[in-house]
Amino acid sequence: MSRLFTACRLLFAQPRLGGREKLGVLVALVTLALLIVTPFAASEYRLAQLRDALLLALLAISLDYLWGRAHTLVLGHALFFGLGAYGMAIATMKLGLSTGAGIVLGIALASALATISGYFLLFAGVRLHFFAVMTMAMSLIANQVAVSWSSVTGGDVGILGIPPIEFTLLGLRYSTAGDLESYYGALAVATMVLAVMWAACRGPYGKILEAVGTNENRARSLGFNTSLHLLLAFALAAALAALAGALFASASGVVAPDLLGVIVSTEVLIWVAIGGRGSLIGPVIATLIVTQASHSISSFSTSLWPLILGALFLLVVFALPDGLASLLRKVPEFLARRRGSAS
Amino acid sequence: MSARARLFEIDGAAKRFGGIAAIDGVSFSVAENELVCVIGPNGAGKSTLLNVMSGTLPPDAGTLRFRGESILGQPPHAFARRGIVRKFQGANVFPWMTVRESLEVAGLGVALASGRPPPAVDTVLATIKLGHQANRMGSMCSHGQRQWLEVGMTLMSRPRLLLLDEPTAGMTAIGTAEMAELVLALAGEMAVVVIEHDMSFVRRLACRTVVMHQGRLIADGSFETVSQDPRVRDAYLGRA
Amino acid sequence: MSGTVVVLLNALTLISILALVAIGLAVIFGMMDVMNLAHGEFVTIGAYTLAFVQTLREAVAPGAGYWLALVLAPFVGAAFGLLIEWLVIRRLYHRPLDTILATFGVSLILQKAIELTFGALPQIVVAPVDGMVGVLGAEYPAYRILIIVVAAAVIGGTLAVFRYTRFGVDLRAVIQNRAVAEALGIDSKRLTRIAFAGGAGLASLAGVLVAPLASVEAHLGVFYMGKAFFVVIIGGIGSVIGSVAGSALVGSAETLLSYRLDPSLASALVLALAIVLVRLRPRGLIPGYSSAHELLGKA
Repeated sequence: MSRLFTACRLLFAQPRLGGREKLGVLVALVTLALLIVTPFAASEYRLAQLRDALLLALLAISLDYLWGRAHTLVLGHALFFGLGAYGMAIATMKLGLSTGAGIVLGIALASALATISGYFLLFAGVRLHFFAVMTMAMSLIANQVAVSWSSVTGGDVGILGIPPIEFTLLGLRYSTAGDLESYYGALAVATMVLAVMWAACRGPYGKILEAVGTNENRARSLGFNTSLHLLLAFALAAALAALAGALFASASGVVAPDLLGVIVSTEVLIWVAIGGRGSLIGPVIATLIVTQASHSISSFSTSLWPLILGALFLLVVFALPDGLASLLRKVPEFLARRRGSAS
Repeated sequence: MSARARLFEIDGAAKRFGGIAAIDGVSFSVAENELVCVIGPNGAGKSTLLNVMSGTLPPDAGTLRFRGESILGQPPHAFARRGIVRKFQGANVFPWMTVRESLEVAGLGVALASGRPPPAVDTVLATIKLGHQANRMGSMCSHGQRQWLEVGMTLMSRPRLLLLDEPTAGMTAIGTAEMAELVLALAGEMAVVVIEHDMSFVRRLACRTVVMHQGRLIADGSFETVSQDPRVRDAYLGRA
Repeated sequence: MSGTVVVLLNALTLISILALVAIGLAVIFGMMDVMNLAHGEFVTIGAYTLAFVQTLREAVAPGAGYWLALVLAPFVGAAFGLLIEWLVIRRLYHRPLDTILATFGVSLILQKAIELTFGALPQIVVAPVDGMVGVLGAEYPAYRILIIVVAAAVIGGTLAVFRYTRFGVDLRAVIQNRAVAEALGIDSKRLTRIAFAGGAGLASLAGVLVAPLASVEAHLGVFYMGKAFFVVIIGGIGSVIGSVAGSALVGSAETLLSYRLDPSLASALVLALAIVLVRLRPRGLIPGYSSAHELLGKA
């Protein structure tokens, strides 16, 4: 037990804040401040959209952790989001349990699936696009199952009427039934997860992920059980995605097979790619902006958005492989080079 | 050699790729803190031997023992954790981490598993003479610098048996001389097996030399003895 | 006995379609390390070619139109294949992950474009033959027999090309070791282009064959893409024989399971089977034949 404790202290030791990091922290704080005051300026409808966007941003954080930090691309990440959502829906509506149990069930389902499939795939040496496409296959099948297993999943229509989250903390009763509470609840969770993941990946653990993700052979020969590290990252990302999904289900009250679908998987990839893989805050901001844009576009025409999404994909791949955050990073690099050439 | 002093033993190892036997019936052992050079013409099977010794490639036949215990079939990271550490051919670094970060990560690997703290990064930086480049990105390092960084990373793992695959490839004469110095210094603290093509480097090490040819061990002795062995000459000149 | 024959023939129908779709995927994956996620769209294109030809009722009767489409669709598919290869794949030569993302985007665009052009409702297509035929004591739809026969002929031809022609030998050389093949003077880029177009053509042919049995709408291909993917994993990357063997396994498993279970649950079980098989046999069913990839590191 103390070995584990020492290991954790070693892995998560916090280094001093670097120059580039300070910029990121600044951006995050400004965004947070803006989000805190938004309810005073936004309509009810817009607020609900932003709340949804915040939970989707949580999904983006989970993918950025897996793809941006552990360098493991997955194409079917919506699978875990959907599992979390359905877990919540089934627990509350079919099994009559509390929303807390719903969160637990959703996370448990997603983590279990990720761990089992991850074990079989990763320990067989499956990597890169082979692995990515397997996750896509898994999400496609899950989508089909969600549509046809109507007795459990409600089929095409899905499950409706999922209750809001209510709990008592320090003698006060909280409920996400109201728009404001729901919004601030989502903001609080997203902020906490972002902070925890940022802190966890800043130190040695993040370096290990980087090593395992960029040069696995080398990492292995340095004594790291790389398949295990990738499996843990996969399972954790699944758990976080499921948390987002469970909260989403409770907040919007509805789950449907679309939550597991290709569109959501594609969108989250876009958010992370545009925001800048690995920057954590970049994908969050990108999610907020792109979701609002897609709502505006979809109000014109429902077919237009998927077309634009596909085009965005191509654009990102060809023009912006490192996302917008990389443009921000270039600023300190540029300054450092100017200083360097002067000395 | 007494059983206690035998750190690493490989016996009857064979590995085939398709129809070709890369190594065949190779047996030899390395003692604690012993320095051994492995030489041989191209295609002799030296890299395959190193791959088998480091656990990267499981052999088709033969046994592998470390301190008397069989390690056949263990995954590569288990080999590394026991202290069998290799430096890859070529400069195989982490492109997006600085020199210092790479060394820190390298130290974590074995440290996490064994619970013992890793060596100090600054000490290793001094040993590999990259103190001034500590904050340079891996991808920005020159080839020679990467070779040194690679060696540094292996040192962070506290090796008991260090496997070096062509450590002087692409280096200048000065770099080669410095590498030879380092290898000789290390040989007092750990066993070192070096694969090399550069004969001046091998001569400078003046250690036990093992010659491979077409997957087999054809000579094993001091550098003088081996370099005068007619079979070795024939192998290099293509007459064998 | 007749019941068994029906099950067998059902399995064979599925296997035939799967194999046609999977061969192209497997060969390109083997040659270029590229997974074209838009491969399913070639199937859709084939099906829509048939639908389109059959709407030209004044010019040609639906029955005859079918045969026309059967010949035409592979070329249409190949043309799209070449277009995608030129626009996207070629430019992302050494970036396999980016290729996947890009083809993912292309797939989305194609699906939506088809939907916008033809509308969201399923297209109407007609088989050239109907009625039942007696096979080994059982009554079986004649059209399905047609599928099996056509597919068997085409797959047989492809296998023969692969094994016995100079072109096939060159293809196999590139799959085994591209660098060495190029050093031997093989124009691997040209070969890859041809193989890409060929694979697309086969998939489109499958699209025409399956169209009368399925719902011809924009997402038709996605369904087969997923299954073809399992086939390639199980059968081995780069192997035509492997694709056939993998199709046999996946096709039989799914057919048998869907008698007992909901088809989507059957698919889920087959997926689970595929994942377990990968663990046991990472290089596919036919050992020694698939090309070594970094995709399958040593765990």
